[in-house]
Amino acid sequence: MSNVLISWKKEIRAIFRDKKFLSIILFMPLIIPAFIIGMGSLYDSLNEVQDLKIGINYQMDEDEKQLFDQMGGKIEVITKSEDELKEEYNNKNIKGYVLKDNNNYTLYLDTSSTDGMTLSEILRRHYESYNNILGAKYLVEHNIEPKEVFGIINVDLEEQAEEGRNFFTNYIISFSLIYLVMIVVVTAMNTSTDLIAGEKERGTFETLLTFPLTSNEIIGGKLLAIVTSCIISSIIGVFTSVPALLFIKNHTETFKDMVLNVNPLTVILTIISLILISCLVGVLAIFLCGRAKTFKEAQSKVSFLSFVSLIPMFTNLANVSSDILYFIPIANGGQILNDLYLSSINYTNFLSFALTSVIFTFVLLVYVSKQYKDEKALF
Amino acid sequence: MIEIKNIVKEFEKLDENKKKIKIKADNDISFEVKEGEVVGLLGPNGAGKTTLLRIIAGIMKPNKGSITIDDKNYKKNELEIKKMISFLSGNTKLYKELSPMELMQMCADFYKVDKKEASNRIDDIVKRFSMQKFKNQRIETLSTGQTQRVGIARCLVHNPKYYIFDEATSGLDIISSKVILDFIKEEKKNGKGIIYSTHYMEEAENICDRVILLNKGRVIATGTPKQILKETNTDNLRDAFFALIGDDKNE
Repeated sequence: MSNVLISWKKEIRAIFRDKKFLSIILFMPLIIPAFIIGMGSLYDSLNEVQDLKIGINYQMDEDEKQLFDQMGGKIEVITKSEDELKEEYNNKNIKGYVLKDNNNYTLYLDTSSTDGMTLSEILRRHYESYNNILGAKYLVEHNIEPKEVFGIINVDLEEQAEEGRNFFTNYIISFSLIYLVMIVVVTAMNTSTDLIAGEKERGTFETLLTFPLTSNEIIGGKLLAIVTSCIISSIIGVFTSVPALLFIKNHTETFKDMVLNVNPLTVILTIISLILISCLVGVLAIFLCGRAKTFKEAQSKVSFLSFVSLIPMFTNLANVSSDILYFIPIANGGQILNDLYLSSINYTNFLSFALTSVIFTFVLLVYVSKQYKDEKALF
Repeated sequence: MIEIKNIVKEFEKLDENKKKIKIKADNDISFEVKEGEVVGLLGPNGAGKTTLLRIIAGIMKPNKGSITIDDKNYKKNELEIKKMISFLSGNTKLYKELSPMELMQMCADFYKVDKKEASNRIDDIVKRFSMQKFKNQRIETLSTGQTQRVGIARCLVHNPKYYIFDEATSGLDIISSKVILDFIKEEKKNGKGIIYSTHYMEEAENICDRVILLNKGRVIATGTPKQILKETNTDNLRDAFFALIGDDKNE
C-alpha cells in the first residue's frame, strides 16, 4: 500500500472516530431536506389562498357575488357597518375590509403581512374584473358590443419554461445545490483544522514526521482524507435532498409538476463536480491553516472559507450568467450544479469548470507542498 | 554508527525592540554513537537537546554540519535513514483514536515491514510489554503507564538499529520511567545504539556509557560519567554540570 493511502487510512480513522466530526458530516446534509421541506411548504402556503375572511360595508350585487364564488369559496365575505368592520378587524376576526363610498372602493389591508399582501393582489384583480363587468353592461345598454371596446388588443401567454419549472422550483433546487457546495466548504474547514493544526496541538505531528514519509505523502494523505469526508458529506446531502424534493412534489400544489433532471449522466457529473470542488476547497483549507500552530489559530485563518462558501449564493442571487463565471473557482461549482439540474448540460462550460478547478488545485498543491518543506509550517 | 559533525542550527526570534535576530540553538556540535552504546545528552531546558535530536531524527534540517548514519546522509538517503531509527519524545503523543494494534500495524505499513514479519513482531511486542488485555482498546482509554508501553512498542515494530529518546521519562512516575529505562538497558544488550536526552542527571549516570553535557547550544564536556566526575572533581553529574558552567549558572 502506498504511503499516501496508509496516511489517508490513519486520517480517516481520526475523522470517523471523532463524534464531533461525525456529527458535522452527518448533520450538515440533514439541513438540506429540512430546508427543502420548510421552504417548499412556505412557498406553497404563499401560493395557496385559504380561509381568508374580509368585510365589506355594502350589499354585493349578483355579478360581484358570482366573482367571489368563482374563487371557490377561498375568501369569505361578511357585510357589516363601517364601525363594526373596524371592530372586527381590530379583534382580528377579519383580515381586512373594503369601504364603499359612492363609486369609490377603499381597501383597508395590512400589506406587511402575507395574508394582507395576498388579499391586496386578489381584491385588486377582483375589482378590476367587476369594473369590466359593469363597463360591459353599460356598453350593452348603449348598444355597443363590449368586444369592440375590450377586445381591441388580445394578450396571450406562450409558456417558455420547461415542463415542471417555475420560479419556486428553480429557487428551491438551485439553493439546495448551492448548499451542497457549502457543505463541502464547512466539512473541509473542520477536517483540515483538525488534521493540520489539531495534529500539531495534540503532539502527534512530530511522530508523523519521524516516519519514512515525504512531505508530499503527508499532505497527500491529509488532502485525500479531507476530500473523502467532503464527498461523503455532500453525497449524503444529494441522497437526502432527493426524498425531500419528492416529498414536496407529492404533498404540495406548487411543486406537483416539478421535474428533476435526475439520470445516470447527471449523477455521474454531479459526483465529478463534487470531487473537483472538494479537492480545490480541501487544498485551500490546508493552505490556509498550514502555518497555524494551534487549533484556534487555524480556525480563525480558515474562517475565510466561510465567505468563500457564500460566493455561489451571491452569484445566484445576482443572476450572473456570464460564461466568465465558469472560470471563477468555487463560484463555478454552484453554477455547474445548477446547470446540471435546471437546464441542459453544456459540455464546454463543464470543461471550463473542471479545468479551472484542476489548475487552481494543482497550483495550490505545489505551493502547499513547498510550504510543508519549510520548518515554520512544521513547528 | 551515527556521526554528528559540526551541527549548527539557528532560529529567528524577535528581540526587545521587535527586530529579527538569529539565535543559535546548537553551535558546532559533534559526537558519535556506536552500536551497543548509550550516549546521554544532558543539559538544562533550552540547552539545544531537543533541536539536536530533531535534526538527528530528520525532522529538522541543520544550517550547517552533517548527520551520517551507517555512512548514509539525509540529503541522499532520508527515507532509508528514517527506517533505521526510532524517535521517542516526552512531548510526542500517540494517536488516541487508534488501538495499540492499529498503531503498530500502521507503523509496520509505513516502515514497509513484510506482512508476516510484522504480524510475528507485533505478537512478540504485545507479549513483551504485557499488552494482551488492552491491545484492541483505543489508546485514549488507556492509563498513563499503558500508554507509555504503547509508545515504546510502536518504536520497536520496524526493529530499528538506533533509538533517539528525548526527555522520554519527563513527567512520568517512577514505575513508568523504569519501563523505559529497563527497555533501554535491554536494547543496549541487543546491540542497538541509543541517544538518550534528559535533564535528570542521576538517571543518565545510571544508564549512559558516555555523556555529552550541553549548555546554551554548546558542548561543554564529553566522556564517561566517571571521567567527567574525575575531571570536575565532583560526586555527581549535577555538581559536575554546575562546576563546568561556572558563572553562567546565575543566568
